[in-house]
Amino acid sequence: MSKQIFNNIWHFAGSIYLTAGLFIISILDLLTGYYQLKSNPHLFHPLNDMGFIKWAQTYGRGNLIETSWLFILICLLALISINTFVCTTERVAVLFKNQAAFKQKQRFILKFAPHIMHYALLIMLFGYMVSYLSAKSYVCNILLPGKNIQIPDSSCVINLDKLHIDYYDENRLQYMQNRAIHVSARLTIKDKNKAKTSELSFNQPIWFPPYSIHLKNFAPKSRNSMDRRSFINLIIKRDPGVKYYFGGMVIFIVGLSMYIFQWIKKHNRHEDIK
Amino acid sequence: MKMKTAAQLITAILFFSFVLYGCKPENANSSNEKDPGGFSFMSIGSFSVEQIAENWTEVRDGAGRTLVLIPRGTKVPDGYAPHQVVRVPVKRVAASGFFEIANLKTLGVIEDVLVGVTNKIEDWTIPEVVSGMKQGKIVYLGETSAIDYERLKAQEPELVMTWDTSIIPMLNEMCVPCVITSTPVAMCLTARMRFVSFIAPFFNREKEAEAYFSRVTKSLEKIRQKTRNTDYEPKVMWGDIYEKRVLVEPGNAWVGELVGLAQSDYMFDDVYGKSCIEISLERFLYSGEDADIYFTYRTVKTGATSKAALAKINPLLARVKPLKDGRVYSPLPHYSQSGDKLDEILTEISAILHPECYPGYLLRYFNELPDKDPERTM
Repeated sequence: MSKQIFNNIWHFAGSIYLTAGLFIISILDLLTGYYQLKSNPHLFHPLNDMGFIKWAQTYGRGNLIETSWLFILICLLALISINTFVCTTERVAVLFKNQAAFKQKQRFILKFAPHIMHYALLIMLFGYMVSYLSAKSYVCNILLPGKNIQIPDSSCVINLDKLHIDYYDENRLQYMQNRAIHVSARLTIKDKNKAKTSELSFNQPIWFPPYSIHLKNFAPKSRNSMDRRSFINLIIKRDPGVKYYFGGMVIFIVGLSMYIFQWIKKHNRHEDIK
Repeated sequence: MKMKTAAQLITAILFFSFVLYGCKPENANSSNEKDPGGFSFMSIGSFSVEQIAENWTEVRDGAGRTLVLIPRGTKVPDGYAPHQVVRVPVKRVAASGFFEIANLKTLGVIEDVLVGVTNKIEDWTIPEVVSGMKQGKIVYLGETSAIDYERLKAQEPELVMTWDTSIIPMLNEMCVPCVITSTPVAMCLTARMRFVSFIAPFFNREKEAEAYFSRVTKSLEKIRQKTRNTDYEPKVMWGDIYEKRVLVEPGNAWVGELVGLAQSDYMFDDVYGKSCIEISLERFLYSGEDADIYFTYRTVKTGATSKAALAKINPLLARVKPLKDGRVYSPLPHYSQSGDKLDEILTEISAILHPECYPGYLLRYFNELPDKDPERTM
C-alpha cells in the first residue's frame, strides 16, 4: 500500500504535464516579478549583498506584496528541480534496464547525453541555492593608495600598491576629454599562509580562495573632478556556490558534447544509407 | 487530478499576489514600517532601520554598510567591529553637507549635537549653525575633500554624517562610526520625505521624525487637491549645462516624481540614476525645445541673475525654450539648507508649476529670472 502511494507520488512528480503546468505558472510569476523589479528596484538591490535569508527576514517579510513573487518563484524552481530529477532518473533507470539491447557500448553511453545535461542543470541550480543561502558579500571596502584593509572575520589583508587611471587625451570626443577611460589597481593580498599580487579592474576580479575581489567604483573620475582623493571601492565576496555552478557548467558541456557527437554520428549513418 | 489541484493552488496564490499588488497604497513604494508581532523593519529607499531587540537596532546606510545602534551603558552584541557601533542617543556629530544638517534641524538637535561642519561660516543660512560657529562650539573642519583630521579628532565626534565614502578608512582608523547619506540612485519622493526617520533613531527622536513626515504628507495631499483639476500641464526641466558636462535630475528623483504628481510633465522622466546625473548635451537641448519651465542648479552667486546672464555663461543654453519665451527659476542661497521645510519647498514648486492654483503666492526658495539684468546706474 505504502509502495503504491510512493509510486503514485513518484510518477506525479515526474509527469510531463506537471512540467508544462509549472512552466506556465513560472511565466506568470516571472511576469509579476518583472513589473515588481521595475517598480521597486530599491527592495531587491540589497539581495545582492545581504544574503537571501537576511533579505527575506527584512525586505522580503516587510514588503510581502511586492516580494511574494520571488518566494513563489523559489518554490516553483524547487518543484521544477524535483520534476527534472524524477523524470531524468526514471529515464536513466529505463536505459540501464535496456542495457542489453545496445550492441555497442559507445552508443549506450551516448544515450545518457540529455540526462547528463539535466543533472548538470540541477547541480547549477543547487549552486545558486548555496550562493543565496550562504554567500557572504562585504560592500563598501574603501582602499586608498598605499593603505590596507582587513577582510572582516578573517586574517586576510588587502593592500593597494598602485592605482593607475587612464584619462582620455584625444580631441575626437570633446566631452570625454580628461575623463577616466580605464582603471587598474595593483593589489597585494596576504593571508597567514599565502600572498598574491594581481591587477584588479572592471570585469577582471581577483580570485584569492575562498574570496573573490571585485572593483565597484573609483575616484577621481576626471582630472578636474571635485573628488580629488584617489581611492577604489571593493566588493569582497565569499561564495561557496561558485564551485557548484562552474562544476555544473563543465558537466553540461560534457553532456552537450556527447549529444552533438551522437547527432553527427547519426547524421553520418543516414548519409551512408542514402 | 493531483496535478490539477496543485496547479490550481499555485494559480490562486499568484492571482492573490496580483490582486494584493493592485491594493498597494500610494505612499508605500519606498518606505515600510510594520510592527505587529515584534517585527520592526523600515526601508527608506536604499536605507533601512531594523529593530532586532529592545536595545539593539541595525541600520543600513546609503553605501549598504551596516551600523548598530546601542543605548549607552548596555552591552554591544557580538559580531560588530568598533566602527560599526553607535552609542545612542548620539551627543556629538560632525556632518559634511547641508542636507544632513537640515535633517538635524528637523529633529531639533542641531544646537545639542553638532560640533563640526565642512562649510565656512559665510556659507551658512541656518541660524543655529551660524551662532554655534560664532561661539566656537561648531568648528569648520575644512572642505569635504580636504578634511583636517586633527581638528576632527579634537572635536571628539561620536558620529560623522557624510556623502563622501573616501573618508571611511580614516574614520575607521579613528574608530569613529560614519553614516553615508548619499545613495547610488537618487532618492524618490517618499524616501526624501522619510529620510529623517532613518536619522531619528541615532538621536532617539522618532516622534519628531514622524511629525515631520505627516506634515510633509499633508502638504503633498494639498498639492494633489489643488492641482487635480488643472487643464494646463507645463513641461519642466531641471538641470544645467556646465563646461563639458550636462547634469540633470533624473525621473526617479523626488523632483521628477513631484512634477508628475503636480499635474506636470517632467522632460527627463525616462532618465534613471543618481541625483545630478550626467546626460548628453543633445538630449538636454532636445528636451529644452519643448519645455515651458526650467529650473537651473545655478544660484545668483554662480551667475544665475537673468536669462541673458545664463545664456552668456553658456551660449548653448540660449537654445532652450524657457530662456526664449518660458520661465526660468534659480534656487535662492538658503534653498539647499531648508530640508527641514520640505513641505514649503514642495508647495512652492507646485505654485511655480501652476501659478493659476496659487493666486498671490510669494516665492521664498526660488527666484524667477528676468530676461535681462537691470542696467547699472553710476
